[in-house]
Amino acid sequence: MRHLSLKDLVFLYYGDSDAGVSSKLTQHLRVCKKCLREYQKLKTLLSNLTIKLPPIKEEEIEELIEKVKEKVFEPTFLEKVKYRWDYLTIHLRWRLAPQLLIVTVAVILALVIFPWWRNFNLDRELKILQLEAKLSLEDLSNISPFDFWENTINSDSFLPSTPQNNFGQVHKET
Amino acid sequence: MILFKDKVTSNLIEKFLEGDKSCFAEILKVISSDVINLAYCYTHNLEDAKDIFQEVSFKIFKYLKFFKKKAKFTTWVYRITVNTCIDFLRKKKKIMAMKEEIIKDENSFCEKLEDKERLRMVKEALSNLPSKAKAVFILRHYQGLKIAEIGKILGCSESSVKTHLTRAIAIIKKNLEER
Repeated sequence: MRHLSLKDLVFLYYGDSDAGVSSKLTQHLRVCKKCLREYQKLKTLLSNLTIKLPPIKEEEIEELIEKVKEKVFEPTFLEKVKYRWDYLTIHLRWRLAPQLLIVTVAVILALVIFPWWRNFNLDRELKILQLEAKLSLEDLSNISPFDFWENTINSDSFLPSTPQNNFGQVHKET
Repeated sequence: MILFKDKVTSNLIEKFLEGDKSCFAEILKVISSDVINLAYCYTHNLEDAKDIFQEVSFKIFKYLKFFKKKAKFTTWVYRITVNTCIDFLRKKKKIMAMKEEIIKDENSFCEKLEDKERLRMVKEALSNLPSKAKAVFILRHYQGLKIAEIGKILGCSESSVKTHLTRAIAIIKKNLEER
């Protein structure tokens, strides 16, 4: 008589063999004491290999899921900015109202008054320049080309004579 | 039970993929006990099992869009969990080897000495198993999965699963008889 193999016994234990096969195996076990003993040993062994799973509370699982969610759904940069903005506008709106007002006024001043003041200064400088230019043009119009010719004839040299040079004297001797 | 879970999760997955992020927490709730149990069978440590659950959750979130509905969702989750457990134990083994620390018995839940002794025995028995045989044994013995499903999870044939299961039990039997 052929004895049952470990494979047969394992499948019989787990109920993985077909109905026909398992009935044959059971019949064999009824007849064969050695195989029955082996089967009992296997049953004891496998039943001893149980692991008592530790009790896990639902709250613990919830906590774990929350941790995962926090990491998985970490907000993007834009979402963070939006969140900050919402926080500022919704939660801190009334508490920070005076500070926000001051900051807003300062920003308006910086944006409006500074450019206006700068333009005002530029306009003033431009007006001065225009006036100076006008005055110099008036001076030029008062001088005629004949005035210039007379001055050059009467003078000893085209170049102005100064105490440091002798341009006028040299011209007279010649 | 698994069929019910798959039905529930398939609806949740569809909603999640359509953009409803709140469904993800629901999916995790459905699978949490299975994942933690399986991880615990591998690690024999609740804290490690929790870490593995978190790791598995990240992977599910990352790769859910690639999940093909050909296989069951639970099968897919089990596959991820088994792979994560193997990676986790490999990393832990390396760290332990580097630190040369004595592994303390952290299983405070075992109040009785009998339970402690049994757990130690199981730990020893499982630690000597080859990777695939260990996975098959855990999935069959502790998770109660069918041979065909284990085959799908581990990506091997049914006959291969049967061989691995018999081999695992033979090794365990031999180890325990030698003690």
